[in-house]
Amino acid sequence: MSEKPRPPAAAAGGGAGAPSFVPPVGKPTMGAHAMGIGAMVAGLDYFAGYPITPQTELLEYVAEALPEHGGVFQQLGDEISSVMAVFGAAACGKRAMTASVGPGLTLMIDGLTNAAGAETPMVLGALTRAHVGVSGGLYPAQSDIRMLRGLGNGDYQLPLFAPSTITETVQLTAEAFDVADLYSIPAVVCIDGKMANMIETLQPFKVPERDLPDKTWALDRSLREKRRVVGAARTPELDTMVCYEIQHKLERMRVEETRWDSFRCDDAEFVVVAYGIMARIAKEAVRSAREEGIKVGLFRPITLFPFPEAPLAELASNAREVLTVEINFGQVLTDVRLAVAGRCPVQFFGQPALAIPARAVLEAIRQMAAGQPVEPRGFHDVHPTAFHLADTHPPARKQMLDQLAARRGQEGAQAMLDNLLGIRKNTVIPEVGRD
Amino acid sequence: MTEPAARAPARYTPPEGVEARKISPQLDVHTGLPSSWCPGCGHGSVSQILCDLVTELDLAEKTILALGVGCGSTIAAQMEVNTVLSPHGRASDTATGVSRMAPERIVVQYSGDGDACGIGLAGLMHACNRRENFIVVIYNNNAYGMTGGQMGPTTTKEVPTTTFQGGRDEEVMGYPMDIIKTLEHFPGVVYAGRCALTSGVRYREASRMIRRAFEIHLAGIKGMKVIDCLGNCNVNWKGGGVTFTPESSNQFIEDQIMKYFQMGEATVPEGYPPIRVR
Repeated sequence: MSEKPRPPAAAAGGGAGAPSFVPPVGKPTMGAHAMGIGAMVAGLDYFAGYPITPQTELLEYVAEALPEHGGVFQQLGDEISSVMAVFGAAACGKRAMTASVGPGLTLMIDGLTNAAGAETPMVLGALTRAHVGVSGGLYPAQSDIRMLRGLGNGDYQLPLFAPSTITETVQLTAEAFDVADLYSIPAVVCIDGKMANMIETLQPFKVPERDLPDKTWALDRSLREKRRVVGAARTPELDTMVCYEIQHKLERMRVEETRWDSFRCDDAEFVVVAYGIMARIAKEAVRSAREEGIKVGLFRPITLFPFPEAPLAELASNAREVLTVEINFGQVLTDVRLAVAGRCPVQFFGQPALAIPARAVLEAIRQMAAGQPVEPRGFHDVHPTAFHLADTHPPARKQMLDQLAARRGQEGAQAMLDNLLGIRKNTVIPEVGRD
Repeated sequence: MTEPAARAPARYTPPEGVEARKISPQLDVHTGLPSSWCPGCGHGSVSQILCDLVTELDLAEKTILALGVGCGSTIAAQMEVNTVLSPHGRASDTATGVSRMAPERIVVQYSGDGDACGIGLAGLMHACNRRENFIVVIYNNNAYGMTGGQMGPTTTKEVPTTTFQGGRDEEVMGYPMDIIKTLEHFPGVVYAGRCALTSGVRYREASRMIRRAFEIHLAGIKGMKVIDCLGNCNVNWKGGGVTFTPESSNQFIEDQIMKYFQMGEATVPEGYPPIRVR
């Protein structure tokens, strides 16, 4: 095996003899594909995954692109197998990646904590969708951020990138491989389901060249020099040492890898904090609010770990109020509050699923500027015409009953509908924020 | 019964088509460290077989051990080759990634029965289904040894364990799993067989079988090579007042456990003469 360090991501292009990968700059690109493109730009060697909406497009993209460029793509038995096979490939010093969604990510945490303990660089693509557990709802949301920061057993965190455009997704996925290699740690790139299915023209991008360490620990190195053991389980003393080592790495990352972006924050009295898809929507709202004369700016954390605490704290010291906008009930809110540290009030605006429309964010900004409290959006704002509302919407209910009655008779239809809505009847839906 | 621990390696004639040229002096993979296995445990025998074989065939540089969690994973301290440690039951998955990315290496998964047939069964079966190319050596001692002798998927009715002191309760726990019977018909499995480590004769049979798996691998026959080694857990087979010594536990395997498990090779590629077992 080659003893040379890998070429930096910008110059890499797959296995020996394979055609080098050319990213489709200027072409319409889907968010899920963008992750695959970023990985290919980084010189991906191995990808293992298990299909789950909305990650399947990424899986299909890599399945086609990777073998063409000398890599290996495998679709394994489940997410646990996938993440562990990726760990095995990464243990050989190769560039390996997997990706999944909510319930699959939950399973993959098993492999991630092990890879972090074994100090093995790999990349995880996290595409997030709404709801608790495995549900029928496939709505996009940013509801897995806390999980991606908490990450299973052990005292560690992983670098977590939250791009907000397709081009940035490509660039940050490619860079994630470098960050993973540099710190010998798994890196996570997170986009929500909406971005995964969104199509945008891929703009020219640049992946900065980094001086990457030689993977001297890799399994494919010669035994004659030194024996290589890759794994999280060692002696208790060594395990304690690894805990310190990981903390040291996290500290170094806080200094060197923290990234953020801001929009019209220079004279901002009010600061909106949003990331990923929500940052783009909030930007529209900020623009409109500025036109109305509200001095508001947007602060966008690009890395959710390490969280850009210092720059946000600086903005907060000159601001009257900070508003966090997320498609969840406040998973990054904790970090925002810790960063603001009481310099000004922090309010929260969010909903559990689907993107919040810009006009609603604008309304929240207006409320904040008027000194009013901002409430998270209510159920009826998210689902104004949902099936579950059939019992509160007589026309919808009648239509459903008529359809069912045609097949089951009047009584049967009534009983079936009542049964279906039984779940709803036991659920208390807050009326907060209803128009 | 004493095991031939310091057996001198026999002169080895490679099978046809395998290059015997030695580029460099052989690397001895025996670390010589004291093992953490209990006296009389068969893990020591498998470790000895693997270390002898890898040293003798000069495969030290080519071999990568893929370990899960269990008593077996301490083979890392006995065998000095590049090693990857994965969580409980994930050795097959990790070995998949390693063997795909380092196809010129010989990846050996060494697992216990809990690791391979319990928590890791899905991974192992899918690896067989996908026709991965590595060797799996299972030390099947009918119990979870590292945690102190709980019932495992392969535990038979007669073995006392801490969770089922009177032996496996077939009403609630069903029947012992025969991993070789489970896997032998997978098209992706090119070699499957069962040996035991209960006597000197059995040790030699086991040694031949594991060597055969390596020979098949070196001959370039792609697919899974799975060997199930029956062994004792003399310290942890306890419950209901029953205790064992190494000797009595080995006799117990011969008398009771072998009733459930077919010994010998189950799947052999064409052209390889069968290895005779008692």
